[in-house]
Amino acid sequence: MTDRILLVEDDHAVRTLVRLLLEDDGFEVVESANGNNAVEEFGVRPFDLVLLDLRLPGLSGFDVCRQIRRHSDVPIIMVTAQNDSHDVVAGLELGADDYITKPFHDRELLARVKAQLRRRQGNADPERSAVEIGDLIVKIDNGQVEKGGKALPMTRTEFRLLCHFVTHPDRVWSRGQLLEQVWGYAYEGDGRVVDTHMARLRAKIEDDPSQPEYIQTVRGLGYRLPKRSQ
Amino acid sequence: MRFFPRGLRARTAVFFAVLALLLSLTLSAVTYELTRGFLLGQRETLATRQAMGNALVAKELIASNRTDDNIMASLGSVTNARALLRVHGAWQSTVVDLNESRIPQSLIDLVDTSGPARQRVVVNNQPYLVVGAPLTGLDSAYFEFLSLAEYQHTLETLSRVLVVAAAVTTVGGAVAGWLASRLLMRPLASVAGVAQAMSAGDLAQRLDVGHDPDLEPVAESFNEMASSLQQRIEREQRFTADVSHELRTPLTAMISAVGLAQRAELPDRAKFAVDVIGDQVDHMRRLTLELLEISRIDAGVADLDIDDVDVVEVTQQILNAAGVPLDRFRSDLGATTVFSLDRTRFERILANIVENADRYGNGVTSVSLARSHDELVVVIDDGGPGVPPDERIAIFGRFHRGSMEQPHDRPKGTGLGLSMVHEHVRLHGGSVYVTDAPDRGARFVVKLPVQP
Repeated sequence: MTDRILLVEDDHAVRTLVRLLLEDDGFEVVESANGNNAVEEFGVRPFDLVLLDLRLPGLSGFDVCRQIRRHSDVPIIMVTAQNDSHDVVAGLELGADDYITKPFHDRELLARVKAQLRRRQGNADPERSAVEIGDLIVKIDNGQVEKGGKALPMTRTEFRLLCHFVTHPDRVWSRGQLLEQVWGYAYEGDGRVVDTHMARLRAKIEDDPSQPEYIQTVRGLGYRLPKRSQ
Repeated sequence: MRFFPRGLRARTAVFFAVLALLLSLTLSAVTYELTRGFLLGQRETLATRQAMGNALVAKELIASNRTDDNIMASLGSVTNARALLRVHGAWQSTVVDLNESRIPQSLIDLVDTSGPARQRVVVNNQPYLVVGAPLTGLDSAYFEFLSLAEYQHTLETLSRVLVVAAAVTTVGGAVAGWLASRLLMRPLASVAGVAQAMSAGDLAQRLDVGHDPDLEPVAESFNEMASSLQQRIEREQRFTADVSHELRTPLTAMISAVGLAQRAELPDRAKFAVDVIGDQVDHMRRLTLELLEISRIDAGVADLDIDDVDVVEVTQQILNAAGVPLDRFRSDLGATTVFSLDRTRFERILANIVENADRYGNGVTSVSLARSHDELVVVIDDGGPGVPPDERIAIFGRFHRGSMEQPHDRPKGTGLGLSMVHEHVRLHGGSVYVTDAPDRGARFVVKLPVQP
């Protein structure tokens, strides 16, 4: 089955060329020239990935991201025109999984898209289908997280990030390693992607996100899930 | 060398102190002179009156035709005065030490020619007033030494009091100056606070204009300046963002188009043409990104995104990515390898110098990290011919084309790499320079301030 990608981009030339490139690699692409149309398209049929330009006429990329996240955990890669603007962090905070900055190379774009799609398979540990940490239950095989008997909604990236720590406890992971392991980057990425997702994850699993007890920050090194004496 | 304090407050305090000192010195001098004149006049009048009385006693004693010794003894016991008598040219005195040799000749002459007179003298460090009067009709003269010690003592006490008063006034003046300047400095401190907040990025900060008619114009013009600065910076930011977007989108289209064309089976000539376009578009892409970053820095809208950075880890990553063997890397940092830096800029600094070494210096031969006081020192050596001394500053300029030949076997450099290094380092408040490596080649030294 071919993966279906929703391509939201207002520039006609870029949109057409990116569609051709993606189709060349065997993806099915649905084009959308503005935010309102993108939200409509998303309601009509399922997609495996959304490629979302942030600067759109009408409904902005941020709004589209927010609306999609309301009822879907589909991977979203946002396209920004400025790599150090606040756009990146704002988009990640709204639940985008990754971002790519214009002007990008076709091979860079394809690598990101494929990394996001590959991750759907996950790296579930067949030995353990569920892990309990305190009052947190992570069901690795079916992608669910419960805390105190209540299910926590998560995007795929957040879930994979949590699973990564749960299956590798008591080890410090640098941002670069997490990008490689969780996002599937084979090249240098942006640590803010990790930090923003970590903040979103903490907001969901921690009682007090400013005093995290599950995944802790190791200054200058990265993050760690300490082993618990239970 | 004269002493000029640098600070406004210290200067004000010194000014007040000097003013107070001059005032109190003048007042003291006037007070001293007036008091001295008054006390001396009073004392001399009294002394003269007393001496004249004693002279009458002496005159009677002489007139009663006693013997000389008797006269002196009686004079001593009756008047208790330190008196001298000259009877028919012969001197006698009640006190041995105070004899005629202690009386100035001018005074004796004055008494002989024009009658009673007085003069101040010092005998054995003791101040005296000598009063002389002729004893008319007896061919005699009476002289008396009257002590001014008490008067002298009073004056000394007075002058001591005045000196202490002057000192106290001076210190008081200094304190008053210090306090006054603090009062005056308070509005300046709030100006400094707002200016600091603005340079830290909070452009909406304004001074409280208040109701002080003296300060209002200053506060208002400061706020006007702040507003126009804010507008200009925001305009620059918008412009940079717009330009950025407008350039990036067509570049993306071009890169994608080239990518698409390169996938197709093309005749040789067309393939060559597409490849040339691809190289040029890629060059333009790098140039655009670097120019945009430079324009952000120039516009003052680029700021540091400070993070805890493990510099050893980052350096190793950069060297790995550039294919530099890690045995050329050395860290003298010890256990502390995490510093507060802008991670992305630190990476760009290293990557650009490494790329420069690759392009012009036969690659990196050694990289070291060290700590010197409160600076992180990065030293990168290459194995090339080095940088001629007259190019060592210019090499950090934009689009600098040195005497080095561009290598043809790789994409053209943008000519902005080292100027970017310079800007990133400058944003950190650090420095970068190039010198000779120990075994020829160029040595780039980057120093970034870090918390001790």
